[in-house]
Amino acid sequence: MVMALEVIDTSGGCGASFVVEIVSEQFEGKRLLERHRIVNAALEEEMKEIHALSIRKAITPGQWKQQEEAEKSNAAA
Amino acid sequence: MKKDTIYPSYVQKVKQEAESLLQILESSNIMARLLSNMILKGIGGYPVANSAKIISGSSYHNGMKYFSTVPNDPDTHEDFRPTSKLENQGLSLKDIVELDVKDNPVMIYMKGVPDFPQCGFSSLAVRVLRHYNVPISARNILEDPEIKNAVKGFSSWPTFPQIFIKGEFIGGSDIILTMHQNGELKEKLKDIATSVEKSE
Repeated sequence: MVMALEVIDTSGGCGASFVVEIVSEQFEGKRLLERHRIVNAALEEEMKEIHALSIRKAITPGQWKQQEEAEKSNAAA
Repeated sequence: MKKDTIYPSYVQKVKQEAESLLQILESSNIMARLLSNMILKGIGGYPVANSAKIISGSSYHNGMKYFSTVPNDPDTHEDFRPTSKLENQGLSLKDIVELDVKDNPVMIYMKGVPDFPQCGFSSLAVRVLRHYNVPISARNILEDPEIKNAVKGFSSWPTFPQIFIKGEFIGGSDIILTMHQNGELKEKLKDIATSVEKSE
């Protein structure tokens, strides 16, 4: 299950380049490489059309919470 | 949202441009939505592929090493080559890749060469790796479509650059950047950097 997903079109509108950030419990206990493989597989067909796909974040709900809290305390400091 | 700063400046520029466009074109951002849907749909029951892993005892050479192999049939444009030819040569191409990653502690398959990358992602990966003072071996996949396909098959990874460290497939530019930021890359490259110092 995906808890949060952000897809940003970085191609300027032509649909060839994207940045993706995903939070999913399915990443739990998996190395970064395996996490990226899951996303790549989900997009197997689309990858043929897309020139560039950057998976900027592939994190678990726990890591997400940590990052949010870290950002909050950074903002507060 | 926090933005990474290590992306090459032109990517950064494109990103800014895209983001301001996005605000205007919010309703027509169909492809991104399609991608979102595919990810949501796809991350259901996908069995994780076995990653190719080769253990190697490695000896290597200092400094940079570039490879350039001439395609076997230089007179024939790649579009016109019979597709079966690729299959017939599958074995030897796979052997080349296996030897590459076995003999070179840091092996990168990229677009362009390290001193002149021809893609922002390849450029990023090289810049990250150069932080560590390790010998980098590289192959230009733009020069060699057959090697490109062999590498894709070997790693089950769809895009370039692809980085191998001590025979292990590491990933692409996103992964190498994340590992650089979280210290994993330093750990992985530790003994390579030391053994170079020793031999000098």
